Amino acid sequence: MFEAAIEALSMVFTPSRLLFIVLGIFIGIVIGILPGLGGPVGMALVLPFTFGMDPATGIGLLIGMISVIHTADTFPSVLLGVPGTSGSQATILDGYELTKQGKAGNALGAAFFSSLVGGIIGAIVLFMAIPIGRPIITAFGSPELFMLSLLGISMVGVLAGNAPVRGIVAGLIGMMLGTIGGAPGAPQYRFTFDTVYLYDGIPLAVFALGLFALPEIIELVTKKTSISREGVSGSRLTGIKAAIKNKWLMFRSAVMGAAIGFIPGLGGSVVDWISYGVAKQTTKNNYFGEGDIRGVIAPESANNAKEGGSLIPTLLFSIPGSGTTAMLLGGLVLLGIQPGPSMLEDDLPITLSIVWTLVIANIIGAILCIVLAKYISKLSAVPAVKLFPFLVVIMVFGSYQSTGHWGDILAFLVIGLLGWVMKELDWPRAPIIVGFVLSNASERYLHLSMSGYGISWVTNPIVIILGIFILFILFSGFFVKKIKSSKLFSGGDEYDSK
Amino acid sequence: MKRNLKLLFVLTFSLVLVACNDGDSESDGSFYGDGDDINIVVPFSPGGGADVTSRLLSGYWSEQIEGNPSFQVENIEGGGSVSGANEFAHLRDSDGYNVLTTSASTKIPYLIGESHVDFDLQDFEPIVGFPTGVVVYTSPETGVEQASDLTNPDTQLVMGATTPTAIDVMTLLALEVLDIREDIDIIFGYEGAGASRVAFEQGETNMDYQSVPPYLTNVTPLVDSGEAVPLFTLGFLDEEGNLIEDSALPELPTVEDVYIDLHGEEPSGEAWDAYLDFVGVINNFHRGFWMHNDAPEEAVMELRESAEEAVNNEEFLENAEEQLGGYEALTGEDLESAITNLESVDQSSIDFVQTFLEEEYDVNGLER
Amino acid sequence: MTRNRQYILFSILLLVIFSWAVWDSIDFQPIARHYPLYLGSAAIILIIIDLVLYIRTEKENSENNNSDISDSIEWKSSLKYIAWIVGYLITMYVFGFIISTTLFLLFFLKLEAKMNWLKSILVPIGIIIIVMMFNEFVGVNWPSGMFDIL
Repeated sequence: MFEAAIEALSMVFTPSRLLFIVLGIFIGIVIGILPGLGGPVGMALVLPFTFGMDPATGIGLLIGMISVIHTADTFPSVLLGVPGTSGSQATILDGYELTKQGKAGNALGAAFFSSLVGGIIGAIVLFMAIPIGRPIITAFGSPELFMLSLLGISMVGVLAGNAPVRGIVAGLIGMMLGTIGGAPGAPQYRFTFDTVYLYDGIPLAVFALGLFALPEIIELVTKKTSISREGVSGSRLTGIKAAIKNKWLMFRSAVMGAAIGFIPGLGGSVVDWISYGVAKQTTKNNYFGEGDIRGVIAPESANNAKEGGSLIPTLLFSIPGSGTTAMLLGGLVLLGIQPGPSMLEDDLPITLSIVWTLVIANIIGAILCIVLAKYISKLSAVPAVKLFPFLVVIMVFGSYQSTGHWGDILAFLVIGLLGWVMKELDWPRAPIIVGFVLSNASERYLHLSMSGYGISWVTNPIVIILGIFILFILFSGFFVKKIKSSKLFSGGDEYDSK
Repeated sequence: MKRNLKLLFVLTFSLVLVACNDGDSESDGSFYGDGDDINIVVPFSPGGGADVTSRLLSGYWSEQIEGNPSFQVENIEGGGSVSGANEFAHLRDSDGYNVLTTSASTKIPYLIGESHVDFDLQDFEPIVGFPTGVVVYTSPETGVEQASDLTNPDTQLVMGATTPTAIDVMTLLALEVLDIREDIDIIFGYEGAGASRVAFEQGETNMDYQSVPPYLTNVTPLVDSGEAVPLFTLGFLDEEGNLIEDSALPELPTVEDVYIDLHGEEPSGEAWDAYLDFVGVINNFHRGFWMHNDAPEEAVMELRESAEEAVNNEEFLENAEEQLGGYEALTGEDLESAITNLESVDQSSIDFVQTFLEEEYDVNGLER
Repeated sequence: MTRNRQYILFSILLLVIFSWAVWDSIDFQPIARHYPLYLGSAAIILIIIDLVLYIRTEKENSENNNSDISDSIEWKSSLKYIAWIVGYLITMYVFGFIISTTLFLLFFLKLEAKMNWLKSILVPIGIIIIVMMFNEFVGVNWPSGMFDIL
């Protein structure tokens, strides 16, 4: 297989192909930066042009684009608190906080470097999975997928922070909102008020924009400052150094991201939350949520790695892992490539060239973003009052791209107002989106597990392993807190400066 | 002064007339002009089967149309592909520049009368279509080696499906005709045919059905390695209204063959009549391209003729083979008979299916 | 309205909505019923618990009740900006994206950001040109209004 890999590398390194990779990267960066435009929109953009291209070039364009979306989507998340795509929400928690402290440069530098490393690790995972992919995917049936979604939901507990009851209620609100639309497994349309718009539920981009972005800019413009109250400083180099210092965190977040992206059916938009939550529970002395750079490193590394992971079921099984990969599948077909078992045999060179494109695009994309960061981060110094109307226009426009109906805009407004009220009243919002995203998946897999296996699935080995992992994650934070507070009582306070 | 003005007026007027005439004489046979855009509404997400077929076809189609207009694909997702069709029906002009793509999942809600359907296929004019067959297969673990064994399998038959209001209806009807539906544990809720296929491979289910193109790509290797056993195809309707074998898999028995094997006589009855009616529309004309009824006749003819050439183009057939399963497109006479099928769907068939879904699967909101 | 009242009101609103959802879900088919029913019921219980805890802790910290006065100044300001957004959307519903965006940007920049007339007019025009280019090359659409002028 290694000769095939070298051969594929030489295929990729032709000037015309590299050109299209770079073109794909530019498109991916623009898509990533503009909130509301995610992978599917980018794909819709690019697909028409791939028809008639030769496969190598077409792949360069498509893969080049999707590799970079999750690198560039960090820009609005960190600088404006607006999620660039649904994969970049967790980054907001600490990234935006850092910008407010004037350290946008740090956050961006760390984020892009982590994205780079994460993307490469994702490509490596893809490469290694090629020979063993099929049996692993086959091992993850409905019960295992349910446990994975449960892992995601348990992040609600982690993200709830200081108000566990409210956090759980928020998660439940998210899950209830997720039930809007068609039920999995039964021809029942729930809470749709007889509108066609709600048939498929509330689109995720609209939900994320409304829940996070709208309240953020309202608060911003009300306070009449600029986002960064202390000027723009912080260097990207510092950020990169911080990322390197936390290389173990980068590595394990990436592996987790690739692994979760690997499993078809989880939708990939919770990868960043899971890695954030796990990192929060397992990193010593952290202050996640208050501008801890590690809260940027973990999700950014994971969400780039996930692209590599999600290509495994897409290429090997013809099963898309997300909206983006669903369209990638179509794109590959248009190029004359048929994903499926042949990707490991006759089409192996193509598969390997995809791996290389991932690597190259991630590297070039991250470098480009690091260079651009200096100029784009100046945005955080602009007075909010001037930024506000543009952001509103961008968000409304971005929401509308979800389905192209007025429902998008209305949903954006309603969810946005809900988010604003919750922000004012100190309700945590991160659990809402986690619950929302995982509602359908968890319900589906629970239903399929119960229908297919009765109750016996609970004793599946992977199910048990995942169950223990979930408990560990949930309670490790609990135990750490107990230890901390007992120290306080006994007088030894690690925050004492003596 | 007045005479000059009059002269000016006449000159201008005649110039305008000439200009208009020039525009008219441009058409000279061809409805479409260079640089024209024909809008294809695809009620599916980009990259999906219907979308890819539309894009593939439009390239070759455009070459064959006089005037070489180009096609712009407009994806309108939602409502299980019904929203796009609704929008096409009401919000797209019937000026000859708008085409609609449909798949089985657009037609079935229409046939069974789902309440959110706001279009009528009878208001549309079919331009070209593609048939697609469906194959049912099982796992060797069930001990079923051929379709006639289905009445006494070694283990409980478990089949994965998506929802009773989509293309799964066809398989449900087939199983009902064969009178084995109630003995099979049908689990709804998989996220599509792809997911139910993976469930089959994982052993979560031991029976599954796929439309022919993905079957050929993904299941045939399993059959070759002994992990899957093909059972029967749903078949197609011929011009006389009989069920005939699937041209992609002619060696497999059809529902009718299996029935005869199991019961010793030909199938008949309400379920069978409804099945035939539905097969004629859904399987024969699985993927369809339509225009409004009141679109200009020239446009319809032009598109039909050019489509006929495009689908016979060798390069197209080669590129589209995996997508289409190697079936021949419906043009000319075949198209005519597909139209007849649609128009001759009996109300009693529809009633039967509606009652069937309501009673057996708790579907509600179907309009009569 | 004091912050406490706001909090309590919101929780009550949540209770009402969840109760309605649970009530509605009873009529769903069995498979579709479980999630809304059980999750909703759990939510109702937890909201009540949270409310009770909140009221109790607020009673203990009764000195903090006066913090709402400064809140309300910001509150009014926030409402003003929300009104801007709602106005923009209503205009969009009637006149479509292009016109409403132009007007919104123009008026907001002038009145709130206090930019001069020149900038306030040029910038919206620039944005509209960019949006139109997007539509031309990329095919993304924008919302149309009742009177579809552009």
